[in-house]
Amino acid sequence: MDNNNRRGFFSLPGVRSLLAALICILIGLMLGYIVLLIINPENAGKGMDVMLKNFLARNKTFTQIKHLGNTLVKTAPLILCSLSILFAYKAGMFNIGAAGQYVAGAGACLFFAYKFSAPWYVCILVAIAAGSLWGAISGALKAYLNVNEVISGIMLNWISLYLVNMLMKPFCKGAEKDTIAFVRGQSHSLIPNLGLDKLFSNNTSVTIAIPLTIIIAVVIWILLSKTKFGYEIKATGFNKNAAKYAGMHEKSNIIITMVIAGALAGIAASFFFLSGFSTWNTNQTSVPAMGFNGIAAAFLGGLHPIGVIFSSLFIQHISDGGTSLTGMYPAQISDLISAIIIYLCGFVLFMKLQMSKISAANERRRRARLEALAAAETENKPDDASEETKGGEAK
Amino acid sequence: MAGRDREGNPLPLEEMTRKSIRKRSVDGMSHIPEDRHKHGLVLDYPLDYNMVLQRYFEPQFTTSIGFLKPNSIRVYTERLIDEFDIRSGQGAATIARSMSGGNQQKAIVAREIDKNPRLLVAVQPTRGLDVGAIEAIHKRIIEHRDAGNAVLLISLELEEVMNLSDRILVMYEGEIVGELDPKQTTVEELGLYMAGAKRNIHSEGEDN
Repeated sequence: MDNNNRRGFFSLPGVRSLLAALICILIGLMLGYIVLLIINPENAGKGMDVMLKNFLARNKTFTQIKHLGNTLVKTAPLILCSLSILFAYKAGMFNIGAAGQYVAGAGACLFFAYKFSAPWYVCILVAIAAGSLWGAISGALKAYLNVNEVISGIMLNWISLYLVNMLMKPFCKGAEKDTIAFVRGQSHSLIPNLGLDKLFSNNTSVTIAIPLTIIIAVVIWILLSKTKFGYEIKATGFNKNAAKYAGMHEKSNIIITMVIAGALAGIAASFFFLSGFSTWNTNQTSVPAMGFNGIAAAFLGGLHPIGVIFSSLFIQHISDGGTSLTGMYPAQISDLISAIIIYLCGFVLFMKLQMSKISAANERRRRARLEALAAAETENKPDDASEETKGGEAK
Repeated sequence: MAGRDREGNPLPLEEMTRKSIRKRSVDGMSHIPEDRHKHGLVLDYPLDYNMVLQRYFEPQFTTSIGFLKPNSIRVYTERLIDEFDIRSGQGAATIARSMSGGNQQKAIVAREIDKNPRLLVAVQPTRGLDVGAIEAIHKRIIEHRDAGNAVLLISLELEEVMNLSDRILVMYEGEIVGELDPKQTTVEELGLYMAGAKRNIHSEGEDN
């Protein structure tokens, strides 16, 4: 049918996702700006500027690049967390437990790093194992006992947090709340730089974790879109009954999906903590936000493994930029503003739906007009095929 | 059900009620489900993915290391589209949800019959279809029977039952109450069996 071509560019799903994401970002930024205006009108414009520029707000190119490195170090785990959520989402599950799987992975890799001084790849493998285990628990509960994965995920988040806090206590110096920092060059538990630190003004936290993350995203994309396994996963996510009817092993697919989602969150944690960027705070009483931000990044990225690379980068960019606001605004404001923006990012699916509705309504009107014209020209009854497609679209 | 074909030779029987869904399907059973949206289709998948819903793992559609073969899937779908006259806006790439109910049903029938099953279970195969499509599907089902396969048709349409069946079994309150020959019975008589007013099979199968 020729009218499919005419509907053209804006009805492509990719374009629509991108537009929806941009609209959400824009609304989020505007709301953030309003909040800044309310709190401190004089600095609002400058504050927004600082936040959006993030590392670009630094004076010297050298420090700019160094701070870009910092943002990237935190982006890598965010990408992996949103991949974890995206992967489970494709199978029809909402993996809010990614945060807990992240914590489990962090605990496991740090434990092996401190206790046994295990090399980095061993630590990463251990983190994957721990994350997978956490995911498998949620998955098995869902598959065999029909326990909602959101409930079991949230519970496991807290279990893992306090477990890891306890586990990390012996690795703090004296009465300090943070675990001992790794020293690059002395600890072989840190992920190697392979010269990437040189590219980012000697930012030693920049490791091969960043390129590895991109590779993992591509692998997940291939797995989901090109393989038999991805076919099954998505079929289960779209229509569980049809998947069962087709003879797919939905129970084991659910568990495998959660294991992979958990593994991704585990890798995320190991990539973050084994970069030497941060240590574990054993006094923290809230689950690290990484897993939750992953939800926003996944939706903002249009639930596409490649899309989340960019959405994660944006969210991390804004969050990091927000930390520079502290001079002009109360300390909490950066989190507040980035939270507002991230919150709005979650509305991408809603936006996309609205856009489809609007374009469907336009299409209907256009067709009605065409049909009226055709009816006026010939006195024939309306042609069957166009009736059918119209009916389909109205659904 | 009697375990004999029309010439009276015993059929190779096989217990399949306990087998997994996948095993049943692979061993030659097809099922046109009653609810095409709930069971028959993954509505958000394109037509070609739906056409291989029970066969995607076969070597012709998947490589040995687990990659799908999108081209063979598309070519296969295009063949079915031609053969079964499935109308879809963008051919094999049409999202199943955007197709009309009749064409969705034709797609399911095409998929199930093309598997060339030894047993085809068709539940209300023509529900909600227009006359032309009903004709086409009936013709396919008869052809399938003529090729020597078993067809179990379950339908609420008495016309359909009378026209297609070689043998009619009527169920009432969960048990088979009558076995009838469509050539010798009438719709009125069928109705009496259906309402439970008449029966010609008495408490059989208690000892299964």
